Amino acid sequence: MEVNLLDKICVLDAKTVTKKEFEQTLGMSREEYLKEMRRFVEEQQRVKAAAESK
Amino acid sequence: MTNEKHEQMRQNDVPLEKILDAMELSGKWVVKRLKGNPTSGPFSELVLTEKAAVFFPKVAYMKWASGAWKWKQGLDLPTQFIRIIRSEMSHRLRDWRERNESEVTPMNNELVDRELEQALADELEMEEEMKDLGYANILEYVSAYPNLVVYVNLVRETNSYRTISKKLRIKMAEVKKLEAEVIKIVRTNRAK
Repeated sequence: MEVNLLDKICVLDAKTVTKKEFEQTLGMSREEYLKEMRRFVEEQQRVKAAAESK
Repeated sequence: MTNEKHEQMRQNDVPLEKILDAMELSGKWVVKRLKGNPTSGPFSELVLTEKAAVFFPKVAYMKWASGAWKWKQGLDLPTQFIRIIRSEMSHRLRDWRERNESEVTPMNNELVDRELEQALADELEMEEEMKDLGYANILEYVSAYPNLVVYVNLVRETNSYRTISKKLRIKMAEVKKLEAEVIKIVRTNRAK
C-alpha cells in the first residue's frame, strides 16, 4: 500500500469548495449537476452494453 | 487473475452513486484549480462547449470506464478522476499553447496562471519538478516539527507505508497518524 500525500492533499483541497461556491460557478444546483452526470453515465453505460451485446 | 482483469471487475462493481460522488468531487477540484469558471482560454466554456467542472468529470469517467487509464494502487475513485483530469488539462494546455503561440499576449497569457502551470507540470515531463514543489511546500509547513520533516522526506523517497514503518521503527498505524498530522497542518496553513 502506498502513501499518496500529494494526492490526498489534492482531494482535501477539492473538499474545501463549498456547495454555494460550486453552485455559483456552475450556475446550477448540486441536484441538477448530479442529474446531468447521472444522465451522462447511464447513457454511456447503455451505449457500452449495446456494443458488447452485438 | 491479471491486473487488467481485476481492474475491469473493479470498474463493473462500482455503484453509480460512488461514480457520481467521484464526479462531483473532481468537479469541485476543477473549480478550485481554475479558481472558478474561466471565460476564455483552453478551459473556457467557449472552447470546451460546457463549463469545465461539467466537462472534465465526464472525460475522467469516459477514460476510466474505457480502461484507458491505469489504476494506481491505493487510490480511491475521486483521486483517480482528479489524476485523469490533471493529465487531460495538461495535454489541452500544451495543445492550446502550440496553436496560439504566435498570438499569446500578456493579457491572455495571464489566463493560465502560474499555480495551474505548476500543477500541470507533471504530465509535461516535469513530474519530478512538480513533486519537488509539492514537497517543498509541505516541508515548509511542517518545519517546526522535526519528526514530521523526517517523515515527509521519507515519503518522498518511498511511497510504501511498510518501508516507512521499518525505517522509523514504528507501527503502520503510527505511520498513518503521522500522515494525518501532516495533512492537518497543511490544511490549516492553506486555510489561513
